[in-house]
Amino acid sequence: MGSRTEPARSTLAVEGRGLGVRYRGRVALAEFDIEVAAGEIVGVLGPNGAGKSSLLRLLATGRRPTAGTLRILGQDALQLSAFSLQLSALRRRIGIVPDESVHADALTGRENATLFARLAGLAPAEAAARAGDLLARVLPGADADRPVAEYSLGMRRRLVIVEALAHQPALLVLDEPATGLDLAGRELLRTLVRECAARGAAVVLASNDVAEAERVCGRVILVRGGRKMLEGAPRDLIARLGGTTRFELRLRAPRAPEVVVDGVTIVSATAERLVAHSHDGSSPLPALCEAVLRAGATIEAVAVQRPDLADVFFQATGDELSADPMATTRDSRSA
Amino acid sequence: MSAIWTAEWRLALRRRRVMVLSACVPLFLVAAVALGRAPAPHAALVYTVLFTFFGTFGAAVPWARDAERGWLHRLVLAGAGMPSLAAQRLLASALIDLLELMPSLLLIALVYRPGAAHLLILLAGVAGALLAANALGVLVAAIAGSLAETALLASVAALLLLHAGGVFRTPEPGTFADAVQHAVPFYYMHSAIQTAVGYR
Repeated sequence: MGSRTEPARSTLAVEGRGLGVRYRGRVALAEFDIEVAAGEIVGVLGPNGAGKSSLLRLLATGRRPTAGTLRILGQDALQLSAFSLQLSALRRRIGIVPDESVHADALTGRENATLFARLAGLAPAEAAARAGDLLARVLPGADADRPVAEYSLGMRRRLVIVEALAHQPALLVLDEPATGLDLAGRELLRTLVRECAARGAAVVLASNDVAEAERVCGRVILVRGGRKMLEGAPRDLIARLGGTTRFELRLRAPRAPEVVVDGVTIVSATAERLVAHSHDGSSPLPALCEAVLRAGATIEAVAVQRPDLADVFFQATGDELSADPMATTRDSRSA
Repeated sequence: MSAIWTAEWRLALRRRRVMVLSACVPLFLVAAVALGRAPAPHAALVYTVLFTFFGTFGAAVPWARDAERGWLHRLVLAGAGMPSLAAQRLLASALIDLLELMPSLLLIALVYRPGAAHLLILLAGVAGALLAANALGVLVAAIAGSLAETALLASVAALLLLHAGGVFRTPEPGTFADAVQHAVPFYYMHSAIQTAVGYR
């Protein structure tokens, strides 16, 4: 997977400049620039209400921006009227995984998947074949031929992914695609997204899951308050932090401890939690713990991790990326 | 056949309980009136109102429900143009309504014994009115903001059009109201029903 940060203009699948979205006067997106090249996987990360879904709605042609210019797959999206055939034709080249899994519940998974492939312009036989091939991987066994009404949340999510991919879109837009998926489903999703990009599709993925974004995205855009905060390859963004190891201490303290340790950057400190990065290869954990204890706090748990995009976001904005910072999906081990 | 049309038929045939209920409820109402020997003008009025509401609600409620849960938006974003989506759903829904009303129409034919020609006119009148009622339902659902609002607006719109179609009163010939009633599809269904039940 590429980690390019400046896509070639000739291969741009998405080109937005100064994009803005307002909902009843509230700014959901402001002065937002985005470029996504064919074959690239771009992650959009941000906390709830940051503007991720608003951005994805624009890219999926689900709404028009209130400001800016937007070209999608070579077409000026603002020039296409709501009921035009050109807009429908453009939409047939886009695959969408919306944040909610809505289906025709009385139909089977296969019938739903075939319906979406047909809407994308495939002939009946081809639509059935493409949907069938994907269903065999994503909903194996007899599940595909059961009514969707009998599906679990995860199965519905898997079906949405099939519906978005069966017609081999040139642009794939995914809004929190891993929600409700089990570990095997997440792995399969990553594989399918990579395959889609390898075929030359541009992929834009909005998520709260930093681990997922780091694994699959060549470039990420960190969003807050409807504005772009940072953009780059995950590895490059994390490298900006300067630390190679991340320490997270769960505390019980009357107040945020004031800690100074050589070779350690304190990223955040509250009465319940302290996050720090080490600057060199030595282990500053004993010194850090000692300093925290000296500051009057009790240490309940310690985790040693490599820094991730949540830390990048925190340092750039001072805000947590997820609502519950202790309930992340990052791999961690107790120290 | 197009994808939406096919899906609509599949959905209707899959929901057998709904289909049976949709056929039985009007049948019971028609049976009560027809077998109860209600006067022909009253019977015709009941049948016209019943079939009009059947078509209007039959389209409005599913449309509003599917819009509310985001299904229509998904279909449109998947490449189904809104005019094409509306047309396919409308035609399928009107035809399904006609199928579901067949037992009721059959009972009317058996009880009132209109001639073959009048029966054909009745069939055409009901089919046309169902198409119009479904279109009205879709229009209302597109304007309304919720299911409850849809039901309310659909009732009001259908009653107003029935009134304009001369179902509740006969306008003086040559008046504006007389001209308007001929532009309302429900007028032709009502006339066909009146003829079928022997009022005309």
